[in-house]
Amino acid sequence: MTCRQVVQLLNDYLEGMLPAADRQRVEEHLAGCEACAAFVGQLRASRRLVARLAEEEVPASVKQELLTAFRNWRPAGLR
Amino acid sequence: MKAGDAAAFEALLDRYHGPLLRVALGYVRDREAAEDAVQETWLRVVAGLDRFEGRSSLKTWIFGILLNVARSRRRRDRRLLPFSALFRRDEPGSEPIVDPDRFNAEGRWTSLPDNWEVLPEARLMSREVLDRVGAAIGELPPTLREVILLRDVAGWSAEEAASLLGISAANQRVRLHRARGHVRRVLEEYLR
Repeated sequence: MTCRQVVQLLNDYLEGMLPAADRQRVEEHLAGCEACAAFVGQLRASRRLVARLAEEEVPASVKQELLTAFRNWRPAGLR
Repeated sequence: MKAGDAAAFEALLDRYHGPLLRVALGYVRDREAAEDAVQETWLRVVAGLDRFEGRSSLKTWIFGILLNVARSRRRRDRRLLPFSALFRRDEPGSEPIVDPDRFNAEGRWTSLPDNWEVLPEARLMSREVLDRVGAAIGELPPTLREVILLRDVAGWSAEEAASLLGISAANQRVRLHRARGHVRRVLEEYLR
């Protein structure tokens, strides 16, 4: 398998979606190819960065407003 | 929570507010509009709790509400966009995952990818790099953007994302491959 072919399979590889035979060929290639191993490292780091985007606190004023809305809501049985 | 447990609702806010905001940003014009959409979503969640029957997970239900709110706001915003903004050539995400020129005739790398593991964590995870990642996602066409937002920002599984978006498993994979490919490519240029 060439680097050019491996690169096309790496997303499915990271997703765990490759058939066993392809997965084994990709892993054998990665074990012997520093460049493709670095490329996988880039894909993994990109995903980690994208996941970091979700780390946001709820602003205190928004939280208070929503909690008040929740407290004012009464389950049907308690109305 | 249906019994009125405010602590349970607060835990839900802490858990999903960030992912909801980020997903909303993928649909509306700016942060303020995204914050509004998320707030409206939470208010609809509260108003709809009685009707929530647990047939889907709470998470799927909440994000489903957000997508409805955000998409209708996007339709509203779109009427305000100049005509030219609706059409783009060289759409991000349509480029090859790696420039074909970077391989020789035998399919080996000629210009090697940088090893990011040697970068200091503080540089890789810096605010400016994160902003660039956010912008790279923002450049994607909506069909690719919504997949990467649900999968990699909100942390959904492939099956959950495909089902919420009403697309096939194969389509989900192709879109994710392209979206992640674009983000990596942008980062590689930025970090070089």
